[in-house]
Amino acid sequence: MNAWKTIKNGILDENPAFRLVLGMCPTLAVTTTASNGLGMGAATTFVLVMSNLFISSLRKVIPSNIRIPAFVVVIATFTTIVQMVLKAFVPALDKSLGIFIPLIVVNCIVFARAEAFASVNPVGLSILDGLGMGAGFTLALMILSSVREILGAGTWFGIHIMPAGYQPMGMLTQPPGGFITLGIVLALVNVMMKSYERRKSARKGIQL
Amino acid sequence: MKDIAFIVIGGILVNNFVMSRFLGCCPFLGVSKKLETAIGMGVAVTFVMTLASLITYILNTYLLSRLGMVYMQTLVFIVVIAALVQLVEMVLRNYLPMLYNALGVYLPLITTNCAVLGVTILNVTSGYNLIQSVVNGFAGGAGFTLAICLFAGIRERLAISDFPDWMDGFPGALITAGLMSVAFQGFGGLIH
Amino acid sequence: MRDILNAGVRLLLITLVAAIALAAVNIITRGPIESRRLAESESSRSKVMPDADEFELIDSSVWANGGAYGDMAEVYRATSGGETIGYTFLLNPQGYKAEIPVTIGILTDGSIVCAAIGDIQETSGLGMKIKDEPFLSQFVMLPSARVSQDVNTISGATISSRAVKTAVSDAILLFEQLNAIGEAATE
Repeated sequence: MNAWKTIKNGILDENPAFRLVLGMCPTLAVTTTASNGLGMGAATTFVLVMSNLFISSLRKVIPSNIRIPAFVVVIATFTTIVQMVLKAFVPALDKSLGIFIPLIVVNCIVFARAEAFASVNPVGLSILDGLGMGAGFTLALMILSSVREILGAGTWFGIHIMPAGYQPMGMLTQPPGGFITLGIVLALVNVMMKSYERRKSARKGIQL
Repeated sequence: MKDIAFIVIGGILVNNFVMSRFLGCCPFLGVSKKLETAIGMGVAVTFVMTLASLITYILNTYLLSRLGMVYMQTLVFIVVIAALVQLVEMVLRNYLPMLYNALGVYLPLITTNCAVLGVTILNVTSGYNLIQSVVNGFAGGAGFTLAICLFAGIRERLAISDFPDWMDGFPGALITAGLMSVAFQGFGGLIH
Repeated sequence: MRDILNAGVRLLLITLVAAIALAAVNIITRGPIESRRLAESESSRSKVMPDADEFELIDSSVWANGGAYGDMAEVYRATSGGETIGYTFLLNPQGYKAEIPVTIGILTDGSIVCAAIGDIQETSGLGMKIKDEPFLSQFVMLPSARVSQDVNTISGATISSRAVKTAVSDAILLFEQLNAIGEAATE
């Protein structure tokens, strides 16, 4: 697998939130505003890259019977580092993401990549995999949070962008809006992926 | 007594862990195709959440706070939960094989259930005492069980109904969950 | 047996390194976190008591008697030119989702200068309204005896606005206590 393919895999083919449907808790909970979505995506990407880096470089030192607790310790360490750094330097983001920062530890994406990719691949590729998965997750959060903030509050990154007469659909920023928006976005992704795959196989047919 | 009643009603209905706090969404969406498995998962999660609340409260109050190492909270809590899940699994397998057969398959999944780590952190940030923490753990678990069982009941019926294929699976399930969440919002005024 | 020991030692080493790393980051970030907290509390104090030129922390042992004053966290005596002009109170009552930091300034004659709300996480469009003018301006220059009747809660955000009202009432209770002590001392 080459470098570009690894990154593209995380963003498109195996997008953690849209294709693998992992890490649903933060995807639903923090996507009320675009800035929260971006912040959560960046925090998760950092933890993904760093834990992939360390788990990959330690993969020959960690015996497989203590693999799980070792992964948990590595991931929890980087999550706590993110938490402390945000608290010190970006307190507004820390307050609005709240409990979901420490919960990056139990985000299935981080754990799944450690187990499935970083523990069996070299360091360089593992970092790229973390970057790709993180970018894919951030992209998904951005799409979702932009839809919810623009339609639900009439703003984007806190700036009013809808015409003055627009009556915001407040429900979208509430919990039910999270489930419903993600459901609709996932349905659209399904439709798009289907047509993308149809075109790809059609192109292959011509080449043959 | 009043605060205990508030925690119970809050955990199960008003601030339901899944429907309004978005904690435990992965098993909520993943293990809810059949009512029977949903009940098993719910009971196992409630059990671990109650125990984890007790143990992390003791550790946090008598160890981490005293040593000024509150920053180790996340690391210590998740390790405790992972160890706890292993322990519960071993105890059940050796002494209560009946219960183990019913819950065993769900136990390994619980370590990465964010409702469990979530409740232990919420206990600390809400400043709950020992009894309040344990009650909160139990009520949160009961709320999770309620939500996942209701959802599984609906999904069993949805499985035999005719969906357009792009709505089948997760999209349909998520929109169903959204409508359930609307219903749970109705409990909002219950606590004053 | 040797395998288990070997694995255990390695796991212990990883945990040890993790703990050391966390301790190091904690030392780096502790300073900024603390100074930010102080700056926040300082700026909300000046906001609710703009005429004061100095604030003096009143030790909690003076007033903390078994939680009679709700969720009181900090009390300051505000002075201008060495003379006491009022008190500021910081309370953290439980809101709909999390604690709501409320700072209240009360002049020595018992009227409320203003109340300020810190960073909150209430529901946007509902509970968040407690930060806005129409709700907060109800408290301004209100004689303390009239809070319970004259302040209207926000419809749809009863829990959040009631939390602020209760905080103000608690602050008034403590203020009366402090003012009585203060007057006795000057006489």
